[in-house]
Amino acid sequence: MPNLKELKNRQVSVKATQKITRAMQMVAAAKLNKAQESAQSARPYASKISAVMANLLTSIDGSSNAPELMVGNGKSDTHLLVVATADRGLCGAFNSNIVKLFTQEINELMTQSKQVKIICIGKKGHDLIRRSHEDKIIDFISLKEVKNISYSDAEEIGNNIVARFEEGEFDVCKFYYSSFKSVISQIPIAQQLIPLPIDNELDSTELDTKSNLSIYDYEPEESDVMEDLLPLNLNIQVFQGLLENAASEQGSRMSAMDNATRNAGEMINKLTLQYNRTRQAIITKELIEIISGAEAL
Amino acid sequence: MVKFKLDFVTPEKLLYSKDVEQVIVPGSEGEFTVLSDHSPIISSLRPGYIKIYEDLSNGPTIYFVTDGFIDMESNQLTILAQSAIEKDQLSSKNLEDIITSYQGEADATENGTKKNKLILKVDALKALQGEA
Repeated sequence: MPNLKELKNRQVSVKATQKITRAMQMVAAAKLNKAQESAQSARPYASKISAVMANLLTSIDGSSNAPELMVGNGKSDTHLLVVATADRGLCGAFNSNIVKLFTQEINELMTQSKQVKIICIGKKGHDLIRRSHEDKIIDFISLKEVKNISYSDAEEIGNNIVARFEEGEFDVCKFYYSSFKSVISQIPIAQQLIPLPIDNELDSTELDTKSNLSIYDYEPEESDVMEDLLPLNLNIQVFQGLLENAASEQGSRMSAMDNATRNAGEMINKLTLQYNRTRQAIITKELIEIISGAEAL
Repeated sequence: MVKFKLDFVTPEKLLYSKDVEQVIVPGSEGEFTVLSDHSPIISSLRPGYIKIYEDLSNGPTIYFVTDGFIDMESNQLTILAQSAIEKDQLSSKNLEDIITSYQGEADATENGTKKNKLILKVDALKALQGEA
């Protein structure tokens, strides 16, 4: 029979854990609000620039002197995979979901005997990926010190990617992050940054309006505008990804901590029941001892 | 006057989304005015003021931008600005800081065309400083 003291101790420790998980849940909820807000306020810009890029892609179609950032350099030998995860744990399957998608795709690339390079954003993903692909990681960026992701953080990462592309370090670039659907659903996605994927999702009405306005005036020259616009678009996509990731992380943590709190509650109930039963058993035992002692007299 | 739709966005938020009559933008080749039914154009911006006339009889709302693009198509003007400050909130010290940061960037860059672009920006900013 477990002794009473031990049971009491376990109860106390589970209660303490529950307090922590509940506090973490609250914090995550507050942070989620903020992160969600900034992810949503960044969406107009990202969608506007995507629309402009889509316009440009249709109007530039077929011309051979299109910038490489847009249409790629024609090769696909070396792939750069940029994996964005969280810097902190205790957020459910958030990190491992992203890494799972990444692992799936990297294995596919390896079987096609492509060269792979990896940039890790966030410590947790780095830790996971380092185990199996340490030799391929060329850079590791931690955003731990950053409280609210600002555009300049994304710009730094984006410029880093563009600079590497211009050096010819890779041919295709994909960006892994988790898109925020709702508090309980975050979907890891792989977004191709270089070359720009041709958007098949445009519905026909949009395409109709697009086809009759492919005659754009450019100021200054088309190539100059492109030179600025393409890196900008890439930065924005990274920025949007990081914001979505931040919101997803908090959402995931919130539901994970909610679960943990509930589990702790169940455990406390079980322990309390066991504690009371044991206590009762001890009392009964003592009574029997007294009664049988008295009877013996 | 006929109005057209304006969306003014920065990476941080949607700044302005209304029907307006006239917008004056500091294009990199020179300042120009966008009215309704302007032909499709994509232009990059140089540092300067974006003047938005929601109603021509009233004064404009003025924003200061350093960098960005505008895209006009089928009567929908989109201004994509890296950052935007309302003119009233722009102090000379702010401007000074922005100039120093661009100047620093220009000094650090070696690539010819990029450096030239940055120098052009610094010049445009200095011109603004002169006006103020």
